[in-house]
Amino acid sequence: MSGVFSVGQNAISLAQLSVTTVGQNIANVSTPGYSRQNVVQTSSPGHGAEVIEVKRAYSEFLGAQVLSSQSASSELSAQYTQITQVDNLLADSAAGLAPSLQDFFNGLQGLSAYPADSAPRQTVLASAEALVTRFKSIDARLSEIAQGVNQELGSRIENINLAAERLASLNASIYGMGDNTPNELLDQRDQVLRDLSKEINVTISKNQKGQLNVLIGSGQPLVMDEKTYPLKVKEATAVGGPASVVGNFGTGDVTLSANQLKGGGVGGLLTFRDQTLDGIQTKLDQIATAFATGINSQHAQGYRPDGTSGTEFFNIADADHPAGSISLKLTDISQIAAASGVAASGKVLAGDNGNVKNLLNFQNQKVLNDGNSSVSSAYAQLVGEVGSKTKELELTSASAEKIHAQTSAALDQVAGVNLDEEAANLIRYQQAYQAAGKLLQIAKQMFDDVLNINN
Amino acid sequence: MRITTTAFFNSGGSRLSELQSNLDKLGQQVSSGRKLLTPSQDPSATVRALELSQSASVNAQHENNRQTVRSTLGTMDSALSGMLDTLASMQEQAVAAGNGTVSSTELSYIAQSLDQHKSQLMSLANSNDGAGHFIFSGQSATITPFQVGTDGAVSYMGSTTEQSIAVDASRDMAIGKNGAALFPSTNDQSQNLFAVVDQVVAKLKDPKLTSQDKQTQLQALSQAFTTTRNALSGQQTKVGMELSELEHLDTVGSARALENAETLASLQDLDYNEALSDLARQQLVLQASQKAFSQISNLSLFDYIN
Repeated sequence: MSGVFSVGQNAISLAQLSVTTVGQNIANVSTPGYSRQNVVQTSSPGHGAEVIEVKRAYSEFLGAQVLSSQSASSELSAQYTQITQVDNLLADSAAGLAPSLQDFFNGLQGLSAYPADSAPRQTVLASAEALVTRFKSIDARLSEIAQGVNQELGSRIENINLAAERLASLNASIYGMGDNTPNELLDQRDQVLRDLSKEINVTISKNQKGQLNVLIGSGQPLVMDEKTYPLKVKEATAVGGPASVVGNFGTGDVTLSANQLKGGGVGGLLTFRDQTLDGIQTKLDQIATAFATGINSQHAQGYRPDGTSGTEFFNIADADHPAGSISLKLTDISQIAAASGVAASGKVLAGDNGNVKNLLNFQNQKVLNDGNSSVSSAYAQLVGEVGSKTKELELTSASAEKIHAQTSAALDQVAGVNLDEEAANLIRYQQAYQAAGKLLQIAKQMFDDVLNINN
Repeated sequence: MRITTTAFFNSGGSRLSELQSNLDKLGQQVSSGRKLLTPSQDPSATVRALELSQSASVNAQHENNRQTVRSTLGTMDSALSGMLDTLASMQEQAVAAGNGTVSSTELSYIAQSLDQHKSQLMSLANSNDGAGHFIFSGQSATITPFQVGTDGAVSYMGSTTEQSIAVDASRDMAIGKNGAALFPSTNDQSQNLFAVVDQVVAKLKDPKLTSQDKQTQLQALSQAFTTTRNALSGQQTKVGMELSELEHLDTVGSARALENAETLASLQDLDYNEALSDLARQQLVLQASQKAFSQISNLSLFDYIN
């Protein structure tokens, strides 16, 4: 008798646990990183069935694949987001450098007909001023983008540090739970790892106690044996310069290189800032330098109306930042050296436009890219290169995203909740509960029958 | 293959958002009229477009210069015609003076007339382009080319170097010509027409002028006329040739400009027919996807459990 009762009791409580587990799955259908659970039972001789464990549907292998595809995708998409800013900056032909350069040379062409007149001289100075402003504004925008990268780097490093703390505390909790399978904590830990791999490459290993050791980038420890190694962002010494990431692994502060911080948004940002953006800035600076020195050197060979030699047309205040520090050095129309010779009177002839024509020739002189490009074609090439790089990143980041979607889908197939499946299970376990209940009812009837034998 | 609930909503959502962003990009193209919104859409077309607009700008400048030159050449042509006419009148006067029966009073009048014509000649040689730049002063654009000195002689004060501007990629044309070349030396004393006329005028006013002397003077004058007429006609022919060359350059220039503009348009401008039909198609795809998604997402076993 007691056997039937105990079988019935076990059956009912097992059915109850199963229904609760189904309920847990349904409630967490939208919880990010939740792995569905199901009750694993076995038969117990004479006692019905018993629970072995509530198993979490997960795959370590697929999980690791997701981490790696996430960090690859985030790395490329961080770069893509940044470079589209430059792409857009150079897209507007009215805001680019090319029209200002053209206006400057057009002004000179107008001067060649009337080199001594005020109005054409004013036009030349005005268009030179506009050109200088345009150089500076493009440079300023590039600096802004660099600063934006520094800031985003800061917030991503903060995310990494927060993740480290959470992982260390989850490690302790999971370890502390012993044999009781902490499914929810494991899910949380995997979710933190996935979020972490958006910021940087993540490699995991288990230590002797079975806890997780987390390495980031090319292998820097982040969480090891319950200890965390947070990172810091250090401002550059030069104003507006690149920020650097600093770690401390027990022997003092050490600056980490971009190679050591590979993968994820951090890796992408560093690659963008130090290679791509730096390259663009350098090319723009080269164009500014070549332009200013070329014009200056030709201008010096000419003569002002009063017979004195031409002086510097443009000034570059900071040789390390030509595009940002270029300015117009001439202050008055009388300083434009249009003539190529001085007359016997000591002054120049009013119609002597020799130096203007020489300045105009500079438009076609191939002074950049190892003697292959003029100033304006070097700029056109720069725009083309930015466009190509952007297009390349558009394609590679889209494809990495697709790959990540696939690996996530693969993991999701194993671990995700399907509401229809859970609905079917609900019916199944409800019926099991009803059947078990009926079993108990019959057991009770049987006992009542025995008790009523003498009646 | 299991499709989890999250997977279904994620993939549906991301597909719809992709369609949405395609639609948005098309919309931007249509409203701006430009195919190329950013360099990354077509890097090589962007570079080509930049080069084309550079070259269009240079062409436009050359066209401006051609207009300036054409206008100046026109002024030169009129001045040269005037000078040739004046020269012809002077020649008539000289012939009249050469007549054996002319009196010394009449000679004196002829001398005055010659002197006035000389001033007229000078004035025409000192023509300007209407903006105060002398056309026959070479690079001394603001200095009057032919001036009378304190000794009464006419000197060329301009420059013998021409002022020229670019009318095409490697072609310059003069807007300020060397005036001295219009009145070259005509005798072994290096005298030009003005000097010879001054000399003749002075002699003709002299009542004691002998017939012999008169003939010598008039011969010198005749030689000066011939030399100067040749120089002036030569220059007028040159001006005519330059004007004709300008016309040719204009034709070539505007053909080039048109071709540039067409190529630029093909690179940058949106083909509205294609774009609008694309837009319609994308809208249809988006609507269909939205409908499919909403129908499938409504299916749930929970609706049937009761």
